[in-house]
Amino acid sequence: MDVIVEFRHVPGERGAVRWAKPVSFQVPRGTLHLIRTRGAFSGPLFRLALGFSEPVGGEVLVQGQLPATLGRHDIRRLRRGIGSVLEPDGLVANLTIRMNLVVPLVYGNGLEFDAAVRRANEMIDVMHLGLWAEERPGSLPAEVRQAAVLARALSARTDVLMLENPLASMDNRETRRLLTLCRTQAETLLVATHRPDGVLHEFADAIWEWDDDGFRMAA
Amino acid sequence: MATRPTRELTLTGLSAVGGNVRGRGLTAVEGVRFVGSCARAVASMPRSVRHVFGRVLVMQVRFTAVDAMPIIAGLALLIGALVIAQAHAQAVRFGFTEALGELLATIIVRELGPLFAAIIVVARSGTAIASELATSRVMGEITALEALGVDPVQYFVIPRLVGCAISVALLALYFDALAIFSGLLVTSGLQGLSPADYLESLRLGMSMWDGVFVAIKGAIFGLVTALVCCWAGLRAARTAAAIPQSVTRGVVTAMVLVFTISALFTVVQTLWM
Repeated sequence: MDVIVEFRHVPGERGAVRWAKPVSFQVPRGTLHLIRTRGAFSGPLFRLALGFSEPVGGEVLVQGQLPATLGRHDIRRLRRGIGSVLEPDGLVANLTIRMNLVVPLVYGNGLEFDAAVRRANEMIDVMHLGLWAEERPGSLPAEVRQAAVLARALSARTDVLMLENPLASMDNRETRRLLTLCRTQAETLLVATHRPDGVLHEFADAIWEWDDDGFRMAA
Repeated sequence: MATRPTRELTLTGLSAVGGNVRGRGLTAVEGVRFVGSCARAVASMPRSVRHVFGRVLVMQVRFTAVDAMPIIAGLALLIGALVIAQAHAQAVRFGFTEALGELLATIIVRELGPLFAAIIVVARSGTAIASELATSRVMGEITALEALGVDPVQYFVIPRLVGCAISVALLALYFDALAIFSGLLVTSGLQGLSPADYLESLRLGMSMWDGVFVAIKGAIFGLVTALVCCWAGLRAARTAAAIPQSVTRGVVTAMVLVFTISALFTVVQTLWM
């Protein structure tokens, strides 16, 4: 079994947070793992997985590598292979929605400007963002911003997606549509949700529960 | 023999000084690392970025140079008129009117032009750069781009460095031209110095190399201003209170560096000449 993301007995994030019980889980290739939790837990988890911080103990493995130990060049290469959505969404305030999609494609994935614009336009159509493509994020409603952030993550066409609370402001119909799109495009997904309803559960291969009592497989 | 409280006070004082020196040393090391990461970012810049890079660069030059032209013009006209009127009065009094051109070339063209252009750019663009990048840090924009494999130095810093270097070089030359023009207007109202004499004395006191020197000095001031303000913005902590702190840190450091480099330039130039 090919494991894409693995946490082995990780008790917390160095210099930031220590959890009540160490976290262990695996996300095998081709699956969608859903973690039901809150921001205080999902933030450190995604920071560890993307190599922004290092674990206090245990190991965090992503595609067989330890992100915290990678050098500048290697960590960038690892991140380019993962489409990510984090909280806060991090849309660049002085760029339009279209340019928010174009800039990572040009600087991160090395696409020529015209090719990046074409790719961004395709994604804008798929995500129904045409009305807002030339707007700056500050003036947009929450669900449009979330769709734009998801579009930015999907536009790199990576096999792996790591999404932190990606659809919190969407209605159930739109959530289903976008999750179907995510599953079609990416092989492996790690999704943290703060939503109390069960729409995302329909798509998950495994559901984890993470609260003050610890990290466990949901019933 | 020192009493116990005196010894304790001395030790506390020494410890505070040591801590301060250590902190400043670490900041300096961090600064040198940042310069290194800028150099690496330039070396590894993919060719595909040229279009986006160009757009950011044009916006930066427009904001830093074009939008600052009215304020630089006002300042240059005032300073040029003031310096020439005062210098002329002293030159007549002490009898060195023939050296007036060289004096003006030294004070206005080589010193005040680049310095005032840099001060205006620190005050306008330095604050804008530091606050923009600190806000980007606080709002998670930089982290989000890094998570997608983008080098934030390539996207946020390098166009600003180039833009500020070009802008301050151009603004310094613009300042000099307007200050000289202002002097020309003033001399028409002065006794004992005709506009023709003024232009002739300037021609004798200046060479083409002064223009090159001013442009280089201005470019270095712009580079240092952008570098320091970008650094201050990028290392902001992720709290709203960090934004004004990083602006203050960036602007004060940039100002001190600009004056220090200006003094070094003068020393080197004096020794060379």
